[in-house]
Formats: sequence, C-alpha cells, structure tokens
Amino acid sequence: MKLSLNWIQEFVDYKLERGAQELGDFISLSVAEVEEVEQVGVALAQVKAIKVLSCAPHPEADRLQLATIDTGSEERTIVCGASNCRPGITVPFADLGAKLPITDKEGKPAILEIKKAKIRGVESTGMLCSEAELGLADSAEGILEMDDSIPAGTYLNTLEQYQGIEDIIFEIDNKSLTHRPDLWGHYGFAREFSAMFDLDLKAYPGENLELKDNGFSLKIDADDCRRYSSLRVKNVSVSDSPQWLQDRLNQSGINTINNIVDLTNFILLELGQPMHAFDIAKLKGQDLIVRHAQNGESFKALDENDYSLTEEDMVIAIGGQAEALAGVIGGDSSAIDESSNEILIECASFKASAVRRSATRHGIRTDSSSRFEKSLDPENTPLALARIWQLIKELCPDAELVGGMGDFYTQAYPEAQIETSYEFIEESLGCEVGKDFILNRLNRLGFDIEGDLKLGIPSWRNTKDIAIPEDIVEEIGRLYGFDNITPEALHTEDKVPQVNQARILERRLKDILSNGYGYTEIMTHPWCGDDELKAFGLSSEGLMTLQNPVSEDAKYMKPSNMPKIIKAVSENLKHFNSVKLYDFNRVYDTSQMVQELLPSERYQFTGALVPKSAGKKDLQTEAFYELKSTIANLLQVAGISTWQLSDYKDAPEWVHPGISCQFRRGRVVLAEIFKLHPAVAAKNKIKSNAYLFCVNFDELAKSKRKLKYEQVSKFPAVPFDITVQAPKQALAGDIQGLIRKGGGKSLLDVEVFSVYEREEDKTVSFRMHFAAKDHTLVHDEIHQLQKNVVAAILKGKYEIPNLPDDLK
Amino acid sequence: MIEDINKIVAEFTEKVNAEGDLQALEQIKAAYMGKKGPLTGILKNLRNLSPEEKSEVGQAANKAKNAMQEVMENRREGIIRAQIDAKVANEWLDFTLDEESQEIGALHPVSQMQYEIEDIFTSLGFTVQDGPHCELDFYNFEALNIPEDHPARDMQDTFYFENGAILRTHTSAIQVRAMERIKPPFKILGPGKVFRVERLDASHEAAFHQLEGMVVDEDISVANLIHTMKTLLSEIFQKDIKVRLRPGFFPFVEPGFELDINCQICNGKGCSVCKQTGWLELMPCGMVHPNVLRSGGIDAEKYTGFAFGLGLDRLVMMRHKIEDIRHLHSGDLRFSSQFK
Repeated sequence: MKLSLNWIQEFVDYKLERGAQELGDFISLSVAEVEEVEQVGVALAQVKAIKVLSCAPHPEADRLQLATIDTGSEERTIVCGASNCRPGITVPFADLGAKLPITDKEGKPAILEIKKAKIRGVESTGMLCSEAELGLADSAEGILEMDDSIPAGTYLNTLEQYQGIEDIIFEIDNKSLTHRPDLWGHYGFAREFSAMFDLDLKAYPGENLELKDNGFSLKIDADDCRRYSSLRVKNVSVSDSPQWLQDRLNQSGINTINNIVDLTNFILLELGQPMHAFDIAKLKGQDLIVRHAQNGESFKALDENDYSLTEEDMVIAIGGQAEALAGVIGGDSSAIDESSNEILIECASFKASAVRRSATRHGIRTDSSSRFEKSLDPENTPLALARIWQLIKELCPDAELVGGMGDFYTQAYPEAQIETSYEFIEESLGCEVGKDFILNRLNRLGFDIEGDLKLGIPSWRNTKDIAIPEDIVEEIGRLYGFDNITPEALHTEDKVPQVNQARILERRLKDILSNGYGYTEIMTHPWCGDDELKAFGLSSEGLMTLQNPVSEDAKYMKPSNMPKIIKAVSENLKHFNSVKLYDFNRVYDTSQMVQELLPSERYQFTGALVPKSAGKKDLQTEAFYELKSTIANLLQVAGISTWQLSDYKDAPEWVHPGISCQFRRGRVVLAEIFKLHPAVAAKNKIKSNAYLFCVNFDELAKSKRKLKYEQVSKFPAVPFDITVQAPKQALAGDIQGLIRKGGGKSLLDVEVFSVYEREEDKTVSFRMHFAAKDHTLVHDEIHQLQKNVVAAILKGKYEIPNLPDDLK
Repeated sequence: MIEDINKIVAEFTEKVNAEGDLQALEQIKAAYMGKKGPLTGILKNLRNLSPEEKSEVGQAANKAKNAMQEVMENRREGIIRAQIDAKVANEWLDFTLDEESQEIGALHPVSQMQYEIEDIFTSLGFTVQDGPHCELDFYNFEALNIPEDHPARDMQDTFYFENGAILRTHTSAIQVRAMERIKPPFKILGPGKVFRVERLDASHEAAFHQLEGMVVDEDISVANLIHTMKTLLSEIFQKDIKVRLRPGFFPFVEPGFELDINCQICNGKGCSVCKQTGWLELMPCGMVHPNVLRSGGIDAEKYTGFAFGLGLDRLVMMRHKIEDIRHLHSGDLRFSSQFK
C-alpha cells in the first residue's frame, strides 16, 4: 500500500525533521515495514524558470543546439538536445549541483546530478528539463514549456500550479498489515504518527448526517453482514474528478473513473472503508436485501466478467437482482456513468471470512476484499458516509440528500477491556519504559484508560487485533523502540539438557560415511509421481497423496528412497566414473498410521557405491564386500554387535537376487545391501556395476552402545587351519557357524583366508585360534579342540580333504 | 706365542674387512675361529707351558677371540647396510601419481550449517527436538493460534493431503509436539525440512529448511530474546552483528518481530541484495503467544517464553554464494562434493 506523507499531514501536524529514508526506517521500526521511500517533486525546489534568449547550432553535432539563456541573474550558454528549444520560451533549468531523482533505463530509481560537462567539445553548465526529469511525468517529449508570464529565476516549487506536489510516498508491505485493519487508510497511519511523535490527531472530517428513511427498504438475511449503512443522493453531476482528487488516487496507484467512483475510492484510501455507489435509475426496485446467493445465480461484475455464484456467497440484491458481490465487487448493471443523476451509496461491514472465501472462490482480489478480510471496524461506516457527503457537496454543489442516512447495525462488537499493569508491561519487555510514556502512548492510540491499568480497546483495534495484555506490551514496545531495550542474558537455572541420542548417532554415522568412507551426502525431495512409481514397479495404492501438488511427478510421499538414489547414480555417472553417495532422509510408510492421518516416517540412510570401472583387480566382488564391511561397521558404531546375514527376502525389482543380503536381528531388518539388478540398471542407463544400501536408522537408534572391556589374555593363542570342500553355493558363514559350535568357548576367532573355486565345487580355508582364559592350553586339549571342530564340520555334511588320521 | 696370536688376529681382520660377501665371510670365520682354526691350535698347546705362561697366553687368546668376534659383527652389519643402501638407491616413486586415491566425502552444506547451529545452541543448553513432515492441521496451525481464515492457510501456501493432513509449512509445528513431551523450563531447538507450494526456480523451492528455537521459563522478557539472538548471530557469523527488531505479525507470537541484520554483503551501506536498505530480513521471532503455551499444556500465567525461526537455505546460500537454490536438492555430486 502506498502512503502519502502530505495526506497524513492533513490529520496531524507533523513537521518533517529528518530525511525521508530515515522517516521510512522509523515507520518500519514502529509500525509496519516500509519497502520503498519515494520522494515526489523534490526536483521542483532545485529548478528555476529561465528564458531562452537565442539558439545557435552546435559546431560538432547536428542534433544539439547552443542555447543562450537568462537565468534571472546572468546570461549563460548551455548545450541542449531538445528539438523544441527555441528563442523566447520559458523553461525549467537545473543548475550545477542539482540532484534530480529520475527513473533510469531499467525503470529503477536513480539520481541525476548536474555537473559541468563537455558535450561534443563544448562546455555546458546546467540542463534544461523535461517533465520526466522533474518527476512530473513518466515520459516526455522535449523540454517543458511554461507560462511566459513566469519571471526568470523563479523556483518552481513557489509556483501556484505545483503546490502540494512535493511529497514523500511510503510503500508499505501489505503483509505487515495483516493484523491491522485500522492501517489500511491514511487516517490510521496519522494516528500512528500521533503516537510516534506525541502529536494531536485531528477528528476525522465530515458533514453531520441524520438517520432517516431514504425510501429503500432494507433487510439483512445473512449472518455475515454486521452493518449496512447507506446514503441516497440526487442531482449529482458525474464528470471527471478535479486534479487534486486524481492526484491522490494516482499516487496510490488507483485508476480514476469519475468523480463519484473516485470519491468512494478516496475514502477507501483515507479511512480504509470500502464503499460502493449504485445508479438508482438502473436498479430494478427499491427493496434491498443482503442475502446469500442461490447456487448457480449469475452475476456480471464491474470487471465485465460473468460469475456463477454459490449459496456461500453473499450478495446485495436490489429489486430481486444481485447488484454486488458483498465486500468484493459491484455489479455492472447499476454502475455509475456520465448519465447518472441519483445514486445510492453503500457503506457496509461484512465479516472477514465470508468476504475472503468469496474472493478466493471466484479469484477476484479487490482493494475492497483485501480490506474486509482484515476484519474492519463497523463503527467506520457513518464516518465514511459523513465524509463522502461533505466531498460530494464540494464537487457537485447541486447535490441533495434524499432522506438521511440509512443504517442497519445488527452485530456490533462487544466493548472490550484489558486488565494489565505497568509492571507486567515493563517486565515483559525487560525494560523500564516509564509510566508516563505508557499512559501517553496508549492515550494517543485511542485507548480508554482507567486506573492502574484497565484499558478500553478502541473500536478500530477491537475487531481481532488487540485482545490480551501481551498485545499492549507490543504497542508500548514498538513505540518505545525494541532497539532501545538493553539485551539481557537468560537467567535460567543450571540444568544439563537432555541429549538427543538419535541426533548424535545420525551425525556420527554421517561423519563416518563421509569423512571415513568417502561418501558424499545428497538431498532428495520427499515426493514422487506415477511415472516414477511405475518405472520402479511400485504401487501408488495407499500412499499419502497431495491434493495440490506442484506437479504430477510430486504427487505422493515417497514410499522408498531407492528410486531417487538410482536416479542420482544415473545422473552422476554422466560426470564421474565412480560414485559414492548417500541420502539421510525419511520414507513415508502408510502401513502403520499414526494419529490416524499420518504415515510412519522412517529415517533411512540410503546410498550407492559405484567403483571405478578401470582397475587391475577384481573390483566388482571387492566392492560388495567393501560395502558389507562399511555397513557392518555402522551397525557396530550404533552399538549393535550381533546380527544375522540372510538372503534378501521379498526383494523389490531393483535388487540382484544372487548378489544381495540383509542384516537382520530376528525379523527386524537393520540394513540391506545389494547389487543393482542389471535390468533396472539398463533401464536407467547405468552401465557400471552399482552397489546400493539401505540402513534402517530408527532400528539403529533404538540400540544403546555398550562397551565391555575384557582383560587382555596372558595365555598364548594357538592357530589352527583347515580347508573344507563345499558345494559352489554353500555359505562360508554356515561353515564358520559349525566351527564356532565345535570350538566352543576356547575358540577365539575364525576367519576365511582363501576360497578356491573349482569346476564342480569349491574349497574354503579357515584360520582359527584357540585359547583359554585361565591357563596355557596343553597339547591334549588342543588336539581335542581340533577334533571337535572337525567333527562339527563333518556333521554338517561337508568334506575335509587330506584330513590327518589323528583328527578323524 | 702371544706374537702368533696377534698375527692371527691381524691376518683375520685384514681378510674379513676385505670381504664383501656374507657367505664368504662365514667361511673365513670358520677357517679362523672354528675347531680346526689356528687359535684352537695354540690353545691346544697350552698344557706344555708353565702356570704363569698358561694364564698369560690364555687371557691373550680369549681377548683375541672377542676382538675377532667384534670385527666379524661389524663387517657383517656393514655388508647388510651396503646391500640395503644399494637397494634404496634404486627405489623411487612418482609422487605425482594417484594410484590408490581414497577421497573423503562431504556432508551436505545444509547439514553442515544445521549442525553448526545445533552445536551453538546445545552449548547454550538447548535440546534438539524432532517432528513429522506430514502433520496434523492442529500442530501446524490451530495450536499455533492460526485461526481458520488466516492467509497462511491458503491453498497456494500449504500442501494438503487427500485425507486432510498437511505437510508442515514451518518448523514451528515442532513447538507444540515438544511441549507435549517435556515440561518447562526448557530450551529447545527444532531443525528440519518444511514445505510450501512454490514453483521451483532459482530462488524458490517447495522444500526448504528451517530451524525453530523456543525458550520457556518464568519471567522471560523481550530483553532476553534480543540477547539470545545477538549471541547466536555473533556465533554464526563469527563477529558482532548489528541487529534491529521491527514489529512483525505472526499469530503464534505476541509481540512479534522481524529481526533484521546489517547486510553482510555491503556492510549496511546499501546494495542490490538488501534493496539499498542496508538491512537483511533474517529471523521472525517473538514472545510465545499464551494460547500456544496453553495448546502445549503449559500454565501461561506462570510461564512465558520466546521463539524464533531461522531459514537455513538462505544462510547456506549467503555463506557459499550459491546462485541457485535448486542445487540443494539436485543430488548432483558436482555440487555436493565441493563442501569437504
């Protein structure tokens, strides 16, 4: 919203004693955010009228002239490029040092400073100005030719015709006024000035009106209309508005239409109260009803669009026809035009939510609807009518009232009072503001003050804005200046805060993955669409589905993050020959809903390892085992020391069935790793072998890391190697299990040290160590342990080639 | 005889020191010091001597034996060292190659920023709280004193699910969830992703990151809020930061503020980033509205508090001069791997 300082000054004797930008900042700090400060007409005080005495061609340039001018005190020759520059005319002249605010080529505000300059070899001191250069018009052809009766040397700001043009316009961020219905007009801001600078606020002007029947019968048949006031005026002469009125509207960015419509808009800008005028001759009757529309009722609005209304919309129906969509826009059929003579002026108060819904439903946002949806003060309607009647009389001296003001006030806001105290205000701010200051400012803002401290809320703040003592704290704080409050450290008691263990684990695992194993963290969106689901063989059934997605491919909350990882791998392989990445993110599991409507959000680490394809060694097999050990280490760090490895159960289509496994604890899957299925790889244009993982972080976070120290053994460990012959797909882990069983407590460790694949089967060699905790193992004991291990392996139906006789 | 011994030692020393081969060295040792060696021969003849001579020659022979042993050891070490030196002289690597490079990875720049701020706050006694992305209207709006007709609820801002749930539009949704779990006094921090209906472009994302903070105790004042904010910002930017508080409207705080910082690009002189104002809008904050405390089951007569929100993406972009917000969720390693 644009605010004119001149306009505000009509209601409060504020004298500008600081820079325009500084005042703008002060408004930002005290009331609402000023986005831009524009100084209008500042050029006028720096520019004087001069006479062009003679013109001569520029020796170096055809388009330029050398003009000799009379500045009122001297004669001077300057260079001028305007084609209308000729002897005898009176034009504005900016002397050296003048700073003219202009709009640059990109439309941005800039300052044009007049300096001594050589133009094509000729020195020029000063500039003859166009209307655009004076800020009086957006663009101009040639220099401004002024009345020749103006004496040379006269500053333009002293001329009658330019009175009132010098102004400062503040562009206020509308969002910062969301909660302030009273600030949607200049009078409200004048009240703020009165509080900011401790100045008297003038009463809102207007002509006294009597309540009297004006011939229209009124019925309010809708709960969302609080008040409906009206004024019937005849003998108006509709014409263009006078200049001052046009200027006011133009400054605020509102188009001028005709004097009557312009006056309603003038009051909208001055008091913040929307109004509407009907041409009585065009109405179908004199019975006015505020009612809900019928479903499908058609309405042609002033914007010349046809709207199909619903019963949730509220209309002003006159003579049975909807003539206005309440609070939003007037109807086309009763619009004021040059022929209008008798008019009905509506000034009503509608409920915010109703207007808001109507405006949203039909996609019409008007200056009226955006004000009503802030909950306007219904006490304003008689004020607005009194003011418009005053101005109509000024503009149309023949105008007469028919009857008096019609006023149906069905729902006033109950008067409200806040009980608070000086102590509460100062303690909340953490600052001594002083009783006098508080009293003064509350008084200026219009509060009724009683005792220490009962506050009657003024009607313009009583519609929703102010209701509790904290609201008063804000009023005092902002006017005192939050910046003037001395910061004070918290004085909370010493208490060691609870530590979020899951967050610590998350960070630890990320640290290990990134800074230990070299994986880089990426982030992906939480959404997916039908195409993605279909491409990866997933169903959309039961997924969390958005009503208003940004696009079709972001419609559902993703049930798995693997498609995102596979896509990231595919994309990154365009630029890298190896990839190590992960995402720490949530998937949205709708199989277990929380609080009925919410999915279980499960944290996961998902990621991929694509080893370099060029290499001497068998990197492919190595990569799987490298990933396996990485994941095992993550589990260990989380405090999980034992798990079972199993085949990947119920594998999705992206899992290679033979090169995959799950880390489980019983039924719980802790993590899974797998080679990307070649078919899915091919579909996603991934030519390298990719290994993927998923760690179910929530399961890890449940575990507590417990470290248990065992005394370092003083007794030597005895090694023992054995080679087992097994079918090709036998799991070494199974044989290790047998060895552990056979070795019992004395088995310290066992590991595979070689696998030799043969045509029909394979041999697997194990190395293990035996030791006792309390003594050195003697020969017989060792022999017995070896026999036990052998027996366990043989019992598992594996063969041991070259088994020495004494172990059989 | 003693002369003979000295002669043997001299001869041995000369031969040993002239030898360069370990095996040949062993042969020399065997020849001189073995059972058939000259020294043994001399010792065998001892019995023909007087006791005095016996003792004299015996001592000399032992001394000689030790001396020869030492000569032998020195020479052996010398040869081994010479062999190693010869090998080392031939060993060389091209250190400019990267045969087995093991690069470290990087945490996402948003994670890094988030953790940094978490650390500052946890050191001030805050605890980190979490909440769901898919949220109930209650936690995101109603409990935060955002009435049904508030503009923030507009369809163009909020993602709605078909079942009536929503995607949280701000981390403030974590406030009431946290209050249900913990009792005052408390200081909490709620970082996370939030979602608004925005078309993706260089400066708009539908998914972005916020960090919510909340302090609830007895007698918390605006002066406390300003102090905490200043402390925090000085830590984040590693220098004293000029701030200003403007009135700002957020239904869940009263009074509510917009906190601006001195523009870090132009140092407050005015530039295109701060739209010539010298200030950057950084943090909405305010004193917790009593209705919000009540929604969280807290006695609003006894307790007060303040809350603030911080947009992480903007901070990250400012810190690294990232030109396009779309990089953050792109999954592109050319972007993410730069933040090692």
